[in-house]
Amino acid sequence: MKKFNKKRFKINSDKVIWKNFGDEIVFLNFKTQHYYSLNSTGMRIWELLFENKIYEEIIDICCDEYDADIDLVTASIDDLLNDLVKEGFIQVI
Amino acid sequence: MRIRPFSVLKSKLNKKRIPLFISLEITNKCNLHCIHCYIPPDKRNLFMTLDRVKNVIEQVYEAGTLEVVITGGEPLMHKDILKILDYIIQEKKMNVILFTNAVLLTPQLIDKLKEYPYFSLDITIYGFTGKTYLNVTGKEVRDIVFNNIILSKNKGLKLNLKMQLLKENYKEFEAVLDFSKKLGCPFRYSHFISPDWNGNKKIQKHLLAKSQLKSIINITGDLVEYKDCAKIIESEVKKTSCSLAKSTAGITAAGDLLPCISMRLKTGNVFKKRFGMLWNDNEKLKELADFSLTETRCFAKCKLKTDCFICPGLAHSDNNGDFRKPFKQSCLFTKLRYER
Repeated sequence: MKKFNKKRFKINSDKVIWKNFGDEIVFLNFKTQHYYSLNSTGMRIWELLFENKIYEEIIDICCDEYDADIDLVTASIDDLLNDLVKEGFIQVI
Repeated sequence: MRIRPFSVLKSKLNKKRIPLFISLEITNKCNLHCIHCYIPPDKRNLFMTLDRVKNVIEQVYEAGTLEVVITGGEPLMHKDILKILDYIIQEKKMNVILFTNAVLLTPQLIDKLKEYPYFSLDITIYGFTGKTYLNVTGKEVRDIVFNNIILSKNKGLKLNLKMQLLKENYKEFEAVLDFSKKLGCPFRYSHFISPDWNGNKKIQKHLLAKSQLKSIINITGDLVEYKDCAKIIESEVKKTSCSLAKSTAGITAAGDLLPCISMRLKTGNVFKKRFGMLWNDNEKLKELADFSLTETRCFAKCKLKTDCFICPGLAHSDNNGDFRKPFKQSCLFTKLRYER
């Protein structure tokens, strides 16, 4: 997705609380008091966001680790990043 | 890949038994003397020390807790309340909801509370007039409470308001509801009253009579909760599952572990044994975690079951420990809603 090209992401620690439960990560949106979760693949992307990787690096690493088609991986990562931005958990910088 | 709403995962997390939400009573002491209080007078003096609070928080944090409800008594009476909040919110990064009657809030305290990133106040209102406040709480604090609510809101604190309905204050419900709407605060109400901790039902004489409850339902319709004062939230009574001993638990000021704060069933003491061990090993907790609301005795035959607030915790208190029996106050409420 063009809007993410070459971009990094900042986790909005003042808006979201999260906890890792092994194969799930649970988020609490403090503003809405709504809970969300991510599966293990989503958790990996969350880790990469934390490591300050740029968009393309995240895609490359996921393609490599999951041995998956780049278009599928990109679409999947775009969906997730859009959700995370929409919820205010991350911002594009 | 999308982030998934918690509801999708609720049953999975319930099976895993992760105690995401903990209610922690940091004191039994209160600055008010409410006529319906469930804490017997001889048990209203206990405080959990700061060291013990920290120790308990450390234990529940390790077990997976993300959200802590700080309750009492009146938690603002605890001399170390700010140190407690600093520890839970700043150090452990957990969300805190603090239950209070709002009497002890001050401008300085509100300014401090406003600085916490993960914090909200949940304020209980006992009437709209000074006379009713005095009658219900034994103190002339009506103006203090309402001024503190307005000040908290104006200073940007995240607030939820609720009203405890009693025979003595139900006529002022509409005024309190209007106040909440004008202020733009989420509002809910409860008309349930449990027996006190000794099982004494004397305080239930303050329960609304049928006609009084009807008059409330005529005002609210099916709703018991107004979020941002818009009627967007379906009634609490739509809930058909319960997280008791699955993803929630309560801890008393004496360190007793409860399956939830509404069920006064001691299942161990976190001052004597670690929370994680009790949570995983206690047979009663495991039995309760396996309990399904469909096992409630009324469930099979009741036509209104999907709209009834089935609460094993309140049923336990109301039925001398039998949580499988119906909670009659809820049955009545559901029937009246349907008659309407």
